[in-house]
Amino acid sequence: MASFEQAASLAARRAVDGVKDKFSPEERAEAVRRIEEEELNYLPGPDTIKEKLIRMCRENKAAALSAGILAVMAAAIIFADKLAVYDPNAVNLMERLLPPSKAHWCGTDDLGRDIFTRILYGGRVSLLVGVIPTTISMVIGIILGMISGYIRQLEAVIMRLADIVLAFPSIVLAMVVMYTLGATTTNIFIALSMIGWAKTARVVRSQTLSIREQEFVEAARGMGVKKWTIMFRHILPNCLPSLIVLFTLNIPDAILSEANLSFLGVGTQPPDSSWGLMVSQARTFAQSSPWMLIFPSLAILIMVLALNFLGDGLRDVMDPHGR
Amino acid sequence: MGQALLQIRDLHTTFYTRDGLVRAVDGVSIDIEAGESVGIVGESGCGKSMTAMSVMGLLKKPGIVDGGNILFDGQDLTSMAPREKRKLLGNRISMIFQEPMTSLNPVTTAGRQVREALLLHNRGMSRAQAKDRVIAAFELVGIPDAAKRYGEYPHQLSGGLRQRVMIAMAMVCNPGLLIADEPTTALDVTIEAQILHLMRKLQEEKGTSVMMITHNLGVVAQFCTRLYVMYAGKVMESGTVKEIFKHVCHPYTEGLMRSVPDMESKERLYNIRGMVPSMLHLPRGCRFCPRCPYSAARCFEEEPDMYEAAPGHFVRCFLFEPEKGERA
Amino acid sequence: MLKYIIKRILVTIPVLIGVVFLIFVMLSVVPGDPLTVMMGEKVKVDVIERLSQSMHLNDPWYVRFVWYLWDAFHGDFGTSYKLMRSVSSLIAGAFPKTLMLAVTAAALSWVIGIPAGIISAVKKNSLADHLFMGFALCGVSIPAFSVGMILQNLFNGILPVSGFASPRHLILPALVLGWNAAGTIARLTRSSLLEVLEDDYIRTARAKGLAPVPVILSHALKNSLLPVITMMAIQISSLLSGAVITETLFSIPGVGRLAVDAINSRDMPLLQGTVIFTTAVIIAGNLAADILYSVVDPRIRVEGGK
Repeated sequence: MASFEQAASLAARRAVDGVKDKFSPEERAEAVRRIEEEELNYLPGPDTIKEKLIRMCRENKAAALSAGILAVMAAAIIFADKLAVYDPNAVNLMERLLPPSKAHWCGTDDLGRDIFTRILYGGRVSLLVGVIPTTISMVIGIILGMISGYIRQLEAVIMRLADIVLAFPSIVLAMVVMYTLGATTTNIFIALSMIGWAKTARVVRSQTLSIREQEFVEAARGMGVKKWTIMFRHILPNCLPSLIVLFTLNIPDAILSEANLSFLGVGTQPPDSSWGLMVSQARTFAQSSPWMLIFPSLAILIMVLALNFLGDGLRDVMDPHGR
Repeated sequence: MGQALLQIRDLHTTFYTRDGLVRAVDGVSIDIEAGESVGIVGESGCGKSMTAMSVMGLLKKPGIVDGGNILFDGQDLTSMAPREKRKLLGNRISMIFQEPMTSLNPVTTAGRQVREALLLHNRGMSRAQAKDRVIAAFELVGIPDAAKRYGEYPHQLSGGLRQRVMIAMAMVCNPGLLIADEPTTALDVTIEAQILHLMRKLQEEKGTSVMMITHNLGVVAQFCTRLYVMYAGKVMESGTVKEIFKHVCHPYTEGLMRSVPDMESKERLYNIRGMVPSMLHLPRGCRFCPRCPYSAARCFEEEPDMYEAAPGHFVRCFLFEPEKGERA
Repeated sequence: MLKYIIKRILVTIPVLIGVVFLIFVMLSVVPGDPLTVMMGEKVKVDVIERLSQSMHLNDPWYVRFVWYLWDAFHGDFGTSYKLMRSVSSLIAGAFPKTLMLAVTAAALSWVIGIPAGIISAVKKNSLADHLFMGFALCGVSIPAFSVGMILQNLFNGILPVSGFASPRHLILPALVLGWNAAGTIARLTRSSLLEVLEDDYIRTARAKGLAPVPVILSHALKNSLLPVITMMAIQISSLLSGAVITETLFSIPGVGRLAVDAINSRDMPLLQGTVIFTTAVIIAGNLAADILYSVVDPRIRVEGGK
């Protein structure tokens, strides 16, 4: 008995012989033309980051709305000096602890300062604390993460260092750093950067480990491309989607850390102000003048909530498996 | 003609995705008689697995059956209450899957997972009785050291053993119909032969009907009596395996057959040109026409029906349309 | 299995030493003579000399580090400058309160977070899902002290808002701390369960004819709670972090409060001791969770797998 393979190929060769001349040559030529036309619009490639963002805005209303709210808040904070009617630090004891009114949208505090104005200006610290240490810590984390994913000799050292940093409860470590360096806004940036890199380094390392095994990296290595070039040209761009997500989700962490430090007295110092400091200053007056507590709390809640929604939305489109 | 055990009538399964409707199964009709083994063949994404999932009611969102009937033993599965349908699943109709590595729950022992099916469909059976039945089933499917394997976790078993456990799970209630979705694709060739041999043996002993879903014509040739070839959600050709292997008709089936490597032939391995079309942007006429070596202008405009090329052998291709005068 | 546990324990030792080292170095560079902080300016020179000797203050910092490590290993974290009591006894007095607060908050977060996560996953995109997830997201998006102050004002006169005298005193602080934790747990349970529900063995279970509820209870839940166990370990860290805030706000004399007091009074040994102790508790918690994980997950427990 002939093998199945032979049977199959024999059957195939005999196959359409009897009927294949059924169509005229003109009709066949027309078909060939059509085929060539259609082959041009076959499957599209994978989405670019820009396309992913557009898709997120279309499909995830909460994330799109959050992005809008963040843009408005950031603009208001940046142009605080143009928007605000009052001086954020002008003490006016005649108008202390006034409830919200047309003149003072969010009321006034115990020194008669306009709370809305102070929220706008205080947002500057919160916004900077959100962005600057997060950026610094991510740059450190990306570099150390890629090195430890790519240079085996350094991996153990860097990762143990990350383990040590991550072993601490974050507020406590930040507290100690602030105690050592002294409580200033710049030192908050330093403290939060010193702590934040470890998480990023872990993520980038694990991504580097998986990307370096892929064919295109092997190919680049085979062609003699230098280590550093491979890291920055090939591996970093492939980490980008998860880094964008991580960045968005690290900002609220930093904002909340600053608020906690300020509450504990080792964060922002008066006369500077941040939302966290405003809330903790409200402590004594919260019973009689709840607006002092409510409005800065709301400012933090809205900004952090919006960032979290945006981060979740980005994660859904950027790397659906990276939970 | 007697009533078939499973009759799929003009089944439509659609996925309502954000980008548009995907008609994964588009008017498929399949009959499986009692004790018969039927092959469903096609490239990945042709809708063959979705047909099986529609029968089992295991479609993932956003897919639903939105047309046609599935009659099992005369009962319509599409309109049956979920509670009633669950009494059939794992009992009268069961299924084995392509991925033996991931189809078993990693945190439960192999034996318990099989026992669960048995206890579910046999009220009043004691756990000890069920355990004995499971061990007997393990022995039947050729698992060595059945009593010991009963208490092991899936990660301790090889791929072939896991697939045997899946078969034991599917066969333990003596189902009338077994749906096998690429049961051997993930396995080595030698294990594949063993598993197919085992399935054939069980099928002959128990008289179970088998719906064998595969992309491998070799499996069909060994295992099945009848064959349906699917492409982009539609049946393109159907008939007995003997007849189709002797007189292959549809150009797609021809392509599939010529893609089977033949050691003795000196010809270059055949390759169907182009890719499986995106189910979102199907050609207007015949779905295969952009890849068909014989297509003509008409194929791009109209969709062909199923034409009877020989008694019991149906083909969806204009090449086999009876001439006007011929039609009686 | 035993080998895995021993290896896991050995790995934590360098981390622990690193933690002590880091804190020690950071606090050593802080300017100021500890003895001045301790006793004021007017102390006799020979007293200072004698004390300096016994506290190794004249030695270089690395010698002092070894001494500190040696003493800490024996449970001696030095003497508080301000309170003039051994740091160990202060921590021993404060820790039970922190533990009670953290355990209550953790229990609260599991009782609320896990069921909320399960319901949200099973009824994905339902009203309940959106409500639970909105509530969970708020819990992780608002500073604990804001919530605490709002609760203090709302419940002033109804519940005790400060101090630590009775179980009733625990209610508000545990709510504050628990909301944040419950938010994290609920979000993780949901995403983990959603992922597991896509797995092949869930399809197998359904193909057996198992109804949806038993599929979730007997197949999905056990698998999806494995990452939640890991989360509980990470939670120890955030609970102890949060305890610093909550204890300060509600005047609970726990370890977190002790650390904040130490900062305010520049009491170096006390700060050092509380921070190292807290971190050691977290490391031990992570270790325990890892071991628990390996016991629960047969892929690690039963040898022979990868």
